[in-house]
Amino acid sequence: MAIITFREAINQALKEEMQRDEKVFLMGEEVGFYHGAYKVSQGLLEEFGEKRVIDTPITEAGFTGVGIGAAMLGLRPVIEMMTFNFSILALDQIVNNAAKLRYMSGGQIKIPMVIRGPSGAAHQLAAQHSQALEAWYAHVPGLKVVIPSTPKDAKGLLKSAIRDDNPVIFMESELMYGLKGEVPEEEYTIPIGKGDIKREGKDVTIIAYSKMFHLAMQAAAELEKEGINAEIIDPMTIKPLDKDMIFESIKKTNRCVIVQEGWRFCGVASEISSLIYEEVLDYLDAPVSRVTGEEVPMPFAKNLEEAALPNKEKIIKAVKSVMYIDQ
Amino acid sequence: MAFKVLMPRLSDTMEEGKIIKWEKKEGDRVEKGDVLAEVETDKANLEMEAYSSGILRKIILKEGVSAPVGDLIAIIGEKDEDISDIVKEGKEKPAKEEEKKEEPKEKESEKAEAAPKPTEEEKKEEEKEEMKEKEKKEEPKKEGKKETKELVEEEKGEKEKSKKEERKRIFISPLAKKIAEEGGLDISIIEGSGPEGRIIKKDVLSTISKAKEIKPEIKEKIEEYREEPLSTIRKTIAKRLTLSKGPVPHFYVTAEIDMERAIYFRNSLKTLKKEIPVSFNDILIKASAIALEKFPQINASYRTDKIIYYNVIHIGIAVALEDGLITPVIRNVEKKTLFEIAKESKELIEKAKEKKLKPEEYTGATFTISNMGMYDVENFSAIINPPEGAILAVGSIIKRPVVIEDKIEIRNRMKVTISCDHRIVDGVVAAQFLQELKIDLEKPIGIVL
Repeated sequence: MAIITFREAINQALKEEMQRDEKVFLMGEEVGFYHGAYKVSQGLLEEFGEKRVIDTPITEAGFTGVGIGAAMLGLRPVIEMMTFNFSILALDQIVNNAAKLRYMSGGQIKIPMVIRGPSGAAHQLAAQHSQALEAWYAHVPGLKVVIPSTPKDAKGLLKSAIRDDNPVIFMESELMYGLKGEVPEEEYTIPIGKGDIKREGKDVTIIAYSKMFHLAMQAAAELEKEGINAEIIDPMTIKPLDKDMIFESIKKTNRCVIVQEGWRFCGVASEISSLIYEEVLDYLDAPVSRVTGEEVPMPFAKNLEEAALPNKEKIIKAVKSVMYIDQ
Repeated sequence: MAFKVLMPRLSDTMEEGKIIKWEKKEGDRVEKGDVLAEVETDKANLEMEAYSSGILRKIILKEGVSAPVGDLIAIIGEKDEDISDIVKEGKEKPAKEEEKKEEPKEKESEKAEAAPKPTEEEKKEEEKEEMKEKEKKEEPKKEGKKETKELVEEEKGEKEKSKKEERKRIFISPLAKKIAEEGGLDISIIEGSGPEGRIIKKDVLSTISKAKEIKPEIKEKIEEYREEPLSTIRKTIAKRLTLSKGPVPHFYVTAEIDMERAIYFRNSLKTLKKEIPVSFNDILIKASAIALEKFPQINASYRTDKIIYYNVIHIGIAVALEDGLITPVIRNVEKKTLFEIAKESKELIEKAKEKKLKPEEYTGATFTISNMGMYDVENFSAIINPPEGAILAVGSIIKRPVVIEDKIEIRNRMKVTISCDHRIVDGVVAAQFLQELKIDLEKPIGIVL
């Protein structure tokens, strides 16, 4: 297996899918000549030309709407958001058109479209550019939401997303573009809607995705030194969620901590905990604990930004609380 | 720092306790863990330990007097400390009033002082405590202390109201509850170590393993029963009969048993092992176990939508006390010899009379025998002790004229009446059970085989 970066993995998925199907094209701000704000589309303009790698004006609602139109007519657009913070401008297109047209046309119209780009906080990008918005999209029927945490998952899932006949929100992370990992050299895809037990354990289930997954792994390593054996589930897809995997794990460990970068209220963690209470209450020995971003617009100050985000220590604390360990 | 000694909750159903005897006098040095007093609860006399060290400054509740759980009964403090305020509070009573006046610091001590299983009042107290702290934290600038206080008081008032209902509430994690249920463990005897006294998995498991240490056989009780969903006809029977006589619809079947051979049998056993005198009750226990093995329908328990059949036989023996009765339990009777049963029942009955039984010694029976033989009673019907499925009421052995092989003879006869839960057992089974019991007592050789 080759060791490549998250950025390269996304690039490979785009390239391979564009080679495989000429209906696939990439559109967004600076994706062509500049190779993407985060250099994800390196070499694509050169290989596929200006008709399939399209630089757009700074108008999210506009090019998202153009993408939806193209998808309605049978093309498979990949729309790059420079960051998902800007996708808020295109919410009407995404929520009212992309998510609903298949339903409202009685299945006559399909929207095989991917909207992708980085989501969540990086470093000191302040309140308007540091938002983790997966819960917003997961709330809308008709959208799939994928949020991988490793280069291998990113490549396999992006390929599945591009081949999917429904609109898929595909969330990456600015801080993870340089993250390296093993990626198979042969062709593969990873199904949307399947989670991955990335670390087996028996004492507690930690559910974490994207950057939070890596924090959870660090916390688990630390906890192992104290004899606490954590299982980590990376759901990879937020919607549809791999509920069964989560339930099975909780039946084994009897306790659960959910980590999400986004705000606490109505977050993905809230939904997952609710599902757990509804389905596997009898297996819980402690209330589910959520580790989430604080309920504030992201502060600019470095120390405050750190305080507003989940970290290893907060996860360890939550694990100990569900295990009734005094701290 | 003065510590309040409160009436502890020493059993699951305890509402108030009476001081039998103070083991320490005022002025005595007390170490944490020392026995302070002997307390009479609704079930047994138990020792009350000190939860803090110091001088026993003041005994508020005198010997022979009762007080509700959570009441101030003594004060432990330093030698020269001024405890007059606390004493006053104790005298003025209304526990609620006193709580309101307390400073948070004192509450800490009260917590430290709390019984191992905090009462609801204490839990509530902690909650309020937390609330206060929270409010302080959340509104550091707001100087409206009064307002906050009022709020808390109001909240208190409401909680006070529902206190009585909540007193019985047991906090337990869903998983712990499930494990306890599957293990047939009574959750009211488990002590919770989680927040607010919540019973968690660990507590259930440790209670089970503790029980195993006392009685290794209990492990079998944990898993050795099978459940059968109720059939429609059983459901209908259960519903209809509960309407008529509920919630446990009893029915009674009586049989007369010839005790000639049993008397002879018992006398021979007496000469065999003088050190362990076998009573008729012991013979009855063993004979019942044999019959129960043949008719497991009776060794069972009704639940909302199923019947639990026990694969072990734990027999409770009703023991009369001055002010009530209690049923110590002999476990795994099916595996015990008559001498083992005799020895155990003697010990348990003695303990029962002294009110020294531990909860695990008077809970968990699958069948009960109530013997009034010593009171010259011809026959009586007993009330089933739920969730058991049946109880056997035993009368006196009385000489009667009986026709045997067409001749009238005077024989020692004993009447027994079984009360059964009609939701799970029908008349014929009860009759067959009595037939079996009759055979076992009339030809008692089976009991030793």
